[in-house]
Amino acid sequence: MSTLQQRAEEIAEELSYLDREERFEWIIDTGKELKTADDFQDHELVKGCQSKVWLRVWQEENNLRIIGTSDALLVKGIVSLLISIFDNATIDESKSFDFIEWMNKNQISLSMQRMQGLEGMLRRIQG
Amino acid sequence: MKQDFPLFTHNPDLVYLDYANTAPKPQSVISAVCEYYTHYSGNVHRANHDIGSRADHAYEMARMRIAEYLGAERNEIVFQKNTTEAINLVAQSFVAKLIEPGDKILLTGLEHHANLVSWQLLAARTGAELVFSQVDEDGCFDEQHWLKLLISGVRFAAFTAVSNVTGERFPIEQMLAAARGLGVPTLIDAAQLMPHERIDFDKLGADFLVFSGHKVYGPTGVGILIGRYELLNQMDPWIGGGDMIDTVHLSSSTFQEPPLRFEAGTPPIASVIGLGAAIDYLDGHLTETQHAHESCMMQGVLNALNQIEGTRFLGDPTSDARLASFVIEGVHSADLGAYLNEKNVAVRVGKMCAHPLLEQCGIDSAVRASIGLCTDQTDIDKFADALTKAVKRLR
Repeated sequence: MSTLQQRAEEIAEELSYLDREERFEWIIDTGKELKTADDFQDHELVKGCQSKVWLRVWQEENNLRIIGTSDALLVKGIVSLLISIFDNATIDESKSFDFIEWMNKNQISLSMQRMQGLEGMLRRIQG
Repeated sequence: MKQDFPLFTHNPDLVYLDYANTAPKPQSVISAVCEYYTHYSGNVHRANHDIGSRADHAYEMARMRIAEYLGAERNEIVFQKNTTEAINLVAQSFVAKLIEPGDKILLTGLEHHANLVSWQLLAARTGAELVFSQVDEDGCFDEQHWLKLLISGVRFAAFTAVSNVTGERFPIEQMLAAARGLGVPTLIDAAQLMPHERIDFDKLGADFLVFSGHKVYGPTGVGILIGRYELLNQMDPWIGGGDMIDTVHLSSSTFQEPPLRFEAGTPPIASVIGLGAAIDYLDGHLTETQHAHESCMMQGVLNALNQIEGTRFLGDPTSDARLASFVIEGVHSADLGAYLNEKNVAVRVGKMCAHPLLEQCGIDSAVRASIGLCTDQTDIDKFADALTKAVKRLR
């Protein structure tokens, strides 16, 4: 199984072929494609600024497992991205990965990051 | 008009539809601020040198200019930080003295948090009761209900002139006449009215009127309280410090006359001077032709929205407003705002600092498009185009 770092690099490579507008569209598509559970509970709700986000985070042996969704499509895209990178990562790997820096490096637009209470999501995932 | 605004020169593709949040600044305002800092950046009311005198003169000339434009006396214009601070001053220094526990303060269900939370704090301190006129199913002001509450006996009435969520202009002339008839003192939150309509404080007959500099094309950091002088003169200062005192002893002090009594410490001098320039700009441009132009542009915004199936407006969109708040079925407001931003269209998304109203409308988050002096047909066309694309893509 690939490491968190490898998965992040693969996605970064995919993004590197896209311009700013295409990256934005990519996030929308990623959000539309996210398959998820429909039985989220109130305690799984992460307080976001303008939209609702649900994250279920648990451990299987030493690995982190995540599922989640949002009522907003772009946020769902970000949730999907978080899952692609963090799901099945080891606890140590996940704690040492700076997702916000990775987003900035890959020019995923600031307005998308601001609107979703991303820090709250990362706290749930990284503790 | 856009050529007067460097924001648009530097962002030629920007479609700015967030005037109700804050307005862009014309070059004349930026130059006035810059000139103060470049040529005569002294302090006001306390300098014994030429630089200070020049600052003093410019600061007081701005006050004079604002008073003239608004049909008020120079000493009725108090500089505050913003609308919010101005309302808090009236609440704490004027209304607090009137209130006995159980007395009622009349508000409407459409207030911005500035004209709500300030009164909640006062109520907690004094035991006053806040009463609210109801909002009808369409999110509109219910004048009959407001009058009924007014007649039932209230100590003070504070209301917005234009809702920052629905854009509805309240019948403030009739409301003020009714309040005056019953001897109820009043405060008008004119933050959303001032950018679009000329008002005459004296003719209007309100006791207090407040607005923000940055929404009338002026700098941030300055808001205006206009109060009838005899009422200002009854008020104790709320914040103490330099500049607002007459004599100071170790155990007590006496205070300046209004308005300086309420301007403790060094004020935002550059912002006040900039606001004077903004008022000059408004005076030159807020014409009847401009009014008709804004009505036409707003109709363009509404037409674009009405093209979209499933658009729901908050309030009555046909009321010749200068903003529209809406939700679109099947599209999250946050997504729509972000998508429009990607297309260089700036709108507001969220609860617009009016949580109770949004809650009553059963809406978590809405989008608001608001227009102003520079809005032109290109903006409307680009907005319509981006909106159509957004909905197609996001649904």
